[in-house]
Amino acid sequence: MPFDDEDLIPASLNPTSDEAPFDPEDGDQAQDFRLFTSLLTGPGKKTQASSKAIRRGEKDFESHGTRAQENVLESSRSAMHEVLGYTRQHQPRNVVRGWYFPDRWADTPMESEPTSDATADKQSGDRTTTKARGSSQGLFASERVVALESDRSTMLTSMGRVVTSAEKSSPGWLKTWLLPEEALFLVERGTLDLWWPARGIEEIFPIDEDLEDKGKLEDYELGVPLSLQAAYALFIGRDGERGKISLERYQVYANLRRTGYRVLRAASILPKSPPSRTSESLWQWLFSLLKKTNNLLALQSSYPGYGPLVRPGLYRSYVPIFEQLALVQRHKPSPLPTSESPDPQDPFKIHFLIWKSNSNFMKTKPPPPDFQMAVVDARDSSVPTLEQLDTLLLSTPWDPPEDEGKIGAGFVYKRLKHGWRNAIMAIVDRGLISYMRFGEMAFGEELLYQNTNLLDITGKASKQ
Amino acid sequence: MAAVKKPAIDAPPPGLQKQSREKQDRSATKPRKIPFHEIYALPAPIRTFPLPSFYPNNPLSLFHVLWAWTRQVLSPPPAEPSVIHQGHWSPETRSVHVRDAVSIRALWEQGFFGKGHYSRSEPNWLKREQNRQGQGDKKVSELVTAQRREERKMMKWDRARKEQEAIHKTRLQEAWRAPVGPMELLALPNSPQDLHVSSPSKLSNGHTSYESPLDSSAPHVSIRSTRNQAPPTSIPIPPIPSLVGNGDAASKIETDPFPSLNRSQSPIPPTATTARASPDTIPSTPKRRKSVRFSPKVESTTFQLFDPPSPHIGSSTNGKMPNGDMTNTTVALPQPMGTVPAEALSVAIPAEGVANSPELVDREHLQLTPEEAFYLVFALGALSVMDPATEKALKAQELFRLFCQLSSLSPKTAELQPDNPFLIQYVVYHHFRSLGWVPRPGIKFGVDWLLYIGGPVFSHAEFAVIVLPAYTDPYWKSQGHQPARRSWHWLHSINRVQSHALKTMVMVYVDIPPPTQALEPSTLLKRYKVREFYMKRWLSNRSR
Repeated sequence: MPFDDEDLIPASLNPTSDEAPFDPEDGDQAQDFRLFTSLLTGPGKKTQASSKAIRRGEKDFESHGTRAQENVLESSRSAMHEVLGYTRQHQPRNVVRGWYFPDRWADTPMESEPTSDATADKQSGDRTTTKARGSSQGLFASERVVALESDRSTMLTSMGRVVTSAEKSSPGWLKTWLLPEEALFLVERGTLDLWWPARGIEEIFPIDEDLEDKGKLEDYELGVPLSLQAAYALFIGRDGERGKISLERYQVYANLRRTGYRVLRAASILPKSPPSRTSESLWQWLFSLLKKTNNLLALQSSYPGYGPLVRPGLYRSYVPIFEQLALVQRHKPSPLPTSESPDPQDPFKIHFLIWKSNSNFMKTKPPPPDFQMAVVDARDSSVPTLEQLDTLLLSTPWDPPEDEGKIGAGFVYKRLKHGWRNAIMAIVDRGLISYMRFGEMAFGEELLYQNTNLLDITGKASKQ
Repeated sequence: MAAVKKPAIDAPPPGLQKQSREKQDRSATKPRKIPFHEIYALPAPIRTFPLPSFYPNNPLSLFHVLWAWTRQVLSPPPAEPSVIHQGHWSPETRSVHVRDAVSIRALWEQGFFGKGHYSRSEPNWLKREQNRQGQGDKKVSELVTAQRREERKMMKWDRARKEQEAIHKTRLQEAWRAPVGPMELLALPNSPQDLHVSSPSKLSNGHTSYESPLDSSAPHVSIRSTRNQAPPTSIPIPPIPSLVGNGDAASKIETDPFPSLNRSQSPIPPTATTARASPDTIPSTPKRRKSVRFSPKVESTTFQLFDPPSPHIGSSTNGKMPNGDMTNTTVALPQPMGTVPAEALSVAIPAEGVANSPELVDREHLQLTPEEAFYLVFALGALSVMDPATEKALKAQELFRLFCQLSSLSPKTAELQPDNPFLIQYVVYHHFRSLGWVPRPGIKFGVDWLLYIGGPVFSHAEFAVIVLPAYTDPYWKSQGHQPARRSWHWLHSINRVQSHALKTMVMVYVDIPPPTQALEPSTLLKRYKVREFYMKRWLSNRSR
């Protein structure tokens, strides 16, 4: 018999947990280096640490003086040593040289076209329009500060763009340009060789006629290579600074990239379309009229000021009783934001769009994102107010729950927990990132009292 | 505390035997257990009179419907809510007390209102007390929890003991070393008679030469010799008395010419000897850095600082232990035997005292929070609250003013603020009640409310609600009124508790309307808007 202060129950016993049993102490566990060694050494080499020695879930709190324990510890330690001592080699063909030109696109206007039709693009058959639209959305030309000499790196499937709006044969017009976070991430990863130009862009990226001219100049006549520290100094800034990114956002970006996601900057918000009235049939209109008058009558007749709200009398079911109790305004989720809802304000707005790594991805024409993320600072901001949270969620796509109308406590829980819109907030506390998912719920959409046999169902469910 | 002690006292082995006995008793005395959904069938203290359903293919059911209808028309049942329960306002505890036993049961069973003030939740102090005094065997949730905790503790200790045994075994395996050095080989005894002579000389040989219970390839001679050295206490004393004192294991070695055969016959004694020897003789036994695990007295409820880290493997009952019922074996241990009588005595005294007093009076009352009481009065009309000062029933408006004033920080101001804390909490309580949820106070989880579907007896609460006020109205904007800033750390700490307790955290924002002249709660409540948002951790390395 469960009660308020019951002990913890394992997830497997909980009848309503339909997801995989999750571990509340998730995610942050130490890495098992033995997994890495098996990756690094390959089948040919024999290492002391084998992957079969991996044990999970057991923890030794004290050394108990057996050699077996020492061996396990030692093998783990040596695996860690091997992993850390692994020599990473940068193949010269994978290294790309990039040049820092912060002001090349400074005067390019921010694209006004919204990205909202990322979802619509996929289905639309008109190839040309999608191409034209896709090429300009999410471009952030004025923010792009690093030009690459080549675009052969595999990292570039989800990074960098060619600025298409540029005039033909202007310097750097066919080059791949990187955003500051992309450039910094590549530098940190060792894939990008960042250079500071000593000469103008015309000489570094000569327009194809004077190819022989470039041959004359040595590398160090063109510029100097930059260190990682220099890259940080160049790319990290405050929010809103052109060509820079705040440290928190970069930390989130880098963390997501290292975890294996594809991340793009979120361009802008959904368009505000006026609430479109769905055409009602005459019947529905009449019916709604009837309902309204009914409601009005009910409102006028009932609700004595100081109660009781339930008028004494004979009731055939609980539904009229609970209907008399409905006083507080409930939330009704709607697919289209109303036109008067304000724009989301920093920091509570979507900054990154995130895709899982296994999805097909084209950076010029990305599919609808898997997640939307806002980045906030844990110390500078506080728990969002209703307006902040509401406008943030209104800028995310409509994602209503499934299994509509199925009866049973499990389905009720599932629908409620799915919510109607959702967004992730990355709360960064001086480099430590906590991801939280927020979702719009609507308890008013689940009238439990109409579920007459819910008690039976819960009774059965709890016995399972 | 009494409840926790109880199972250990009146039935020392709360194992399978007791459970089966209980089951028999129950089946004998109680022929049928009423299922929960029949006891707790009503979602509110209001009855309904549904007409029987009419089946078109069964014309007789029409008569059934008609008969039921005419009966209800001719002699109508009393208007619901037919029973108005009596509550007493208690200004000291700031709650409403319900003292009548029938009302207590009714309010608990029909909507799960309130809490027994001696109980954790359901008012069942009387049952527990009767249980404690042996007047019946009632199943009470507190006892079930205590028993479950006890079982879990047993399970953990059992697990820890097995772990420790496994460690011990590997340690023994590792410690055994075949005698290969010339001096060691020479020192080996040649015949059983040599054993007595040779044993004192091997004092310096130390702990490293233990016999391994698993290693059968070891030569007989070495086993015999090492076994004789093993008990460290036996070494300084003359051999024969020490062996006697050491118990049957060693004395069997004395009589048996073939120790390996002996070992295969009774596997217990070798471990017994070595285990007893181990804490003293193995210097590599670690210091305890974390005293998290083991007590030799498995049934004692607390860990003592002086408890050794390993269980008492050497006891003669050891062989039975892995197979289950722990308490049976541990009772036989000499140490706990001393503690049991003391506990039994302490219980025996009140038990005698009860025998004199013939009956128990239920001294427990139900306590309702202001929100619950006001809901029962204002929404359902199923409760009337007495003012202790005037001995008169408080009207709904008096109750409302009272609760609002009590919760307000400055009770002097007579004006009702729209963001009065009681009002905000009541809006949320009313909101979820009116949708059919059972909200219960959630202070134990660090939240404002827990939401149950059906009620706490059916399932665990799935949602944990924290209430946050929101000032989105233009009036508040013009006043520059902002809600209190809450830190992210505050939110994370609550969320961590909820995820650990497998609850979904719901942030409920109550949109505060501008002030108004209206005072009736029904018009006030209509101006509030409630928004819910869930919040849970997103695990970046599990969502890929």
